[in-house]
Amino acid sequence: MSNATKHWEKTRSLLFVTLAIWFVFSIGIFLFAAEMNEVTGPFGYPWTYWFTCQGSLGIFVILCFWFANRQEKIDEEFGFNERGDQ
Amino acid sequence: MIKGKFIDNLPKVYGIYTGGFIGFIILMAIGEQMGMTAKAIGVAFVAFTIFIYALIGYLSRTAQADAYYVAGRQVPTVFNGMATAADWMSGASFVAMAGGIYFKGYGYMALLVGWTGGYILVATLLAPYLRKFGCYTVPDFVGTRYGGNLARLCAVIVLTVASFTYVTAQINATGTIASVALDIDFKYAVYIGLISILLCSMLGGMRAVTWTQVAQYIVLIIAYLLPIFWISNKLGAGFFPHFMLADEVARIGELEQQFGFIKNSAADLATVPKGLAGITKAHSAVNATPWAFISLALAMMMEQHHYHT
Repeated sequence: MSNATKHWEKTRSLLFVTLAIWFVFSIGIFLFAAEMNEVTGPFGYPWTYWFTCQGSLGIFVILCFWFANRQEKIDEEFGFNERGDQ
Repeated sequence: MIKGKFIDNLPKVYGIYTGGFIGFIILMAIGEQMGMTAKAIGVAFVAFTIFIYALIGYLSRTAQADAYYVAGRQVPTVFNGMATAADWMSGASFVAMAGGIYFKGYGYMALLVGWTGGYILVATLLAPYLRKFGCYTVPDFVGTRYGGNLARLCAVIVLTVASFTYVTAQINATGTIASVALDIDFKYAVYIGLISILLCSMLGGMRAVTWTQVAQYIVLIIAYLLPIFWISNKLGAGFFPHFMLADEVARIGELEQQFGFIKNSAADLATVPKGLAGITKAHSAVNATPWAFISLALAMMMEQHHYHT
């Protein structure tokens, strides 16, 4: 298997993991919005309310950073680093 | 005061700018105390902003395609992040989202989730490939990836149609803000707003847009945070409403139950005074069906997807 194929495989699995997490916190949890809102969550806010206003958004921001770092590590591992070409 | 190239002095340039902006606010506050009219303050604010943006556009003016479209790929990460954050806090969120959530409560909060979640899609599905293909725009990428001008044309049509609704809302917001700030008719204000945008972006392209966005970010983050800290403190809920307003949310829920925004029928609502009648949804309760909420969030993400690039 060539270097590029392996790089793409790793990149692709990272992509799927990222999208899976994205799916859970943008779609998954809101399927149970009404039930979840009955329960008190962080800082005393109802769970659904907290997720729409802070939780999901915070997770997305962290996810963005995590994804970019992982991708950079993968690029470095296979010698496709972009850091030098600016 | 500033030596060398614009890009080498970013923290200094924006430090001076932030100081200047705060100084300007204080100046306006003093002016108000001394009897300056609201109209004069509005005009001063708009003039100050347009002047700053035009100045940035002029300073970073460029004729090179690479610098025009992708800011020369030399924008430092933090400043790029600030520019992107300013996108988030654009006219649509500043004007429309606040109003939407005020009137419709939970259902409109899908905008928050969608608007933010869209960045994940941009970061994972689009941005890396645009970058790797060395493309400037989405049609450019589609044309390169799938080959031929037909694919490129399709991308242009899709983008134009999708952008149209967004740009309409955004131009409407621009016009509304300009008309309130300058106290003139909307039909003139909208052109003044547009001309100032055109002036900035035509002169410097993406580079100027990035730098004006950073300037805008500084204004917006102050404008977003200062009032909520202030109001929250004044309500006795502490300085950080993000962590301390849970009791208020519960109280709003009780009040809404009591005064019956949820219980009222359409016929009852017709008797409610205008302005109040818009508030038909409880803020504290989940009042949208899951799929209505999710599809609104998804629509926002797709929106984000195209317009951000």
